[in-house]
Amino acid sequence: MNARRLWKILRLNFKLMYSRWFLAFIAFYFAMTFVASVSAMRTEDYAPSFRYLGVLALLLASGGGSLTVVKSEVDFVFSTPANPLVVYIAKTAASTVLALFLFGAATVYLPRPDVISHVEYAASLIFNTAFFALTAGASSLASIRRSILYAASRMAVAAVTIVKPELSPLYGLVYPSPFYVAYSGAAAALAFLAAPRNLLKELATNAYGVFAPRGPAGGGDAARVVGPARIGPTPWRAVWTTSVNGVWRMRSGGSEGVVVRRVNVFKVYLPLSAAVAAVYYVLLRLLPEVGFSNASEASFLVTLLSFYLLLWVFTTSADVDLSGERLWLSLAVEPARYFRLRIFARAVIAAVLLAPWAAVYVLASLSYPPAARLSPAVAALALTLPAASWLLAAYSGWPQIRDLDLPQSLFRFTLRGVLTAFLYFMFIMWLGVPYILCAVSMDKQALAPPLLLAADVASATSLALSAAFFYLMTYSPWASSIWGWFVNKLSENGYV
Amino acid sequence: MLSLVSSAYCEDCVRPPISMRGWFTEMPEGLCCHVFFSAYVLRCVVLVVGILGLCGCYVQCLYVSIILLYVYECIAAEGLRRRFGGVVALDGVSFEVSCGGAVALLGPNGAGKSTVLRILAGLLRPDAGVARLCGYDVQRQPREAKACMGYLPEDASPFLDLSVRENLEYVAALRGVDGSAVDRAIEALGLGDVEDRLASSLSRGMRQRLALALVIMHRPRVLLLDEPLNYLDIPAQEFVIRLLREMNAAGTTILVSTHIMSIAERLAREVLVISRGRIVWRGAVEELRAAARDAGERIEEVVARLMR
Repeated sequence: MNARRLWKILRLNFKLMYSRWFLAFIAFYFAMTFVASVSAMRTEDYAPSFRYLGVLALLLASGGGSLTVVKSEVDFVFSTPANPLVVYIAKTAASTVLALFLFGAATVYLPRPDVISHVEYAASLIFNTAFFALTAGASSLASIRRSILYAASRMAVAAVTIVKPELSPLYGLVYPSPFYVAYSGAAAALAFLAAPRNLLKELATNAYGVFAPRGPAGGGDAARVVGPARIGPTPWRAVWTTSVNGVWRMRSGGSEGVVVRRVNVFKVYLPLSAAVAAVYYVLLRLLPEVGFSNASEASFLVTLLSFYLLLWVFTTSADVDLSGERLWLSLAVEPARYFRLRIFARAVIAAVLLAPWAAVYVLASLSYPPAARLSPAVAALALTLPAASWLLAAYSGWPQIRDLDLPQSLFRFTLRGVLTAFLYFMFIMWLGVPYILCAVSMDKQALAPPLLLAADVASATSLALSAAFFYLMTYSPWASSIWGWFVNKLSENGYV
Repeated sequence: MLSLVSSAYCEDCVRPPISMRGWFTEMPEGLCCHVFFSAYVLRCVVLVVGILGLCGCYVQCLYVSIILLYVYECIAAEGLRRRFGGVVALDGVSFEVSCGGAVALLGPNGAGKSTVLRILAGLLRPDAGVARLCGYDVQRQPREAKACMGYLPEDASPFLDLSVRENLEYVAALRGVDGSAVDRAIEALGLGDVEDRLASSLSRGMRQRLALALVIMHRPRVLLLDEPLNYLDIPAQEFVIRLLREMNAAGTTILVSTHIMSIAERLAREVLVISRGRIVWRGAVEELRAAARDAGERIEEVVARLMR
């Protein structure tokens, strides 16, 4: 394949993923980062840079930039003689943009003494983004075991960047050197070598087989895997059953077929949520033991990180199930009634899954008092997220999943998506305000009373607004018109 | 449309060329593979017939002539089997379509029509059996097989976030055909007025036209079509039928899956009836018409009986 063709494939993959407004977003992001980086340039204290990089890496590691195969690719790309590896590389290259700009905007303004260090920086930037994009791409297509390995490698880099930056390949973005160029280059090369080549080879001759559902190992009927669910007889029972019984699609070992399992979200996600909450608690208790010079600062950081990671995971996963909605079935009777029931069911599920976190923050407050301020924030999340995530997903053009359980189109980075992300960002920031005010009050004893009062007001406001939003979306007379807009939006987005 | 079919594949022909059963690996530069192939077959026929004729073996001469003319199938399925979990989708499907043929694959819902087409298109691996396109084993030589065919899936959805032209440019880049193929396809399918519009903004019928353009833009020797007239209004159906018939007349082999008999009658000369994963009948469309005439039935009723 010649360079011109390759460039055209790459350019159109880029166009499939990003709108021109994304460039405006990038400009905005760079401007904001420039303002933030001025202090780092002046003080030459790069510790915050590493924390910031670590958090960015953590965000990317928990799902950012993953590859999505759409039905059009199965029909029109894999039926051409083009090598699927080329398509994979083009898609991965297009997906690097997110990591490239996040890492670039965070570090490009840091001072460097000479031209060579600029070259080393550029090389480190390319290799690091390639590492994150390649591992994210590979884990999107690989089996569950391999996916965990890829995710663990990215998580490890993120964690090391926060805890011990010198051991991270991202260190070269702040202190460029030939060693870190080689280090990040090796990481990228390993990620490339770990690409799921067998699966890509399989796509050349068996794309439908790769994405088709199949029975569990040892045989069995694919249709039986999903299994009968006791649906009905009342509308609430039907909605509740279909909300609680999610469907997992995963690749398990073999190159062919996706294993489909019906899972009860409480059986899978509740223990997971409780386990991660327990890990956070143990980590918090261990901080003074492992010799942190400033245990209070470490507690603040670990607690805040745990909360933002929780928010990130919940906000990024809450809108996914919208893709499985079938308007022509669900809305055959009355849209508003259906969505009221659906949102109520989702809110109950969110509340149960978040309960361990509300409890653990109360428990953590025994050793670190500001943690208690996060419990109301968790409650506000349970009340807000189920409806807000779907409304924002419809607004930003989340694609429907149809044939072969593949999306109809890629999710595009558009201005709407950016605005949606900004709203999420503001919401997340706002939920963290009471905790931050309380943490500051511990250091500034003189200002403690007004700060704690402000924290109480912020918490109460969050809860009151969240409850009002929940009422608006489920029981109020205006719910019908909001869900009417929502249905129209989904129809415009191609939902059927 | 005319420019696509009347040039008879004389330029920008798909590389690599027809395998010629492994006798040639490269086609002479500047020569269309169709012309080359026809000339080659003709030379073989003339040579063998000539030798047999000189030897006085006139009956053998006739047999060999017929065998040589039909020995090269553009589509061949040999004992295709495929299961999905516990469901047997294909249970030993075998058939072949000679080059230039037009065959309709008829069958009830769930008979295995789409599965056959997906296997032939190299998008699904059979549990057993071999699929060949233009003489290439689809599983062993996927690149060569895919270079010579175009596959239109049922409910085909082009890239919704690309314009009509960009969709064509993307597939052209993947197939390695030049930009003139894009212009020809736009002209052939009457997409000139919407070439800069996003596919997502097109009506379902226009998207189907775009999908057809994506499939025929590289002038495939073999067309695998799964319900090609879905979503098209009546004028568009007539337009597409005419286009496909002209392509067939110019040498393109067509295998079309449908459950609408009138489409099969107009697009194909032969019919394969598939039911429960097996080919249950094969014959000319004319045979079906005659059977219907004799029984005083509609042709659909005859086909329905065959499917049972």
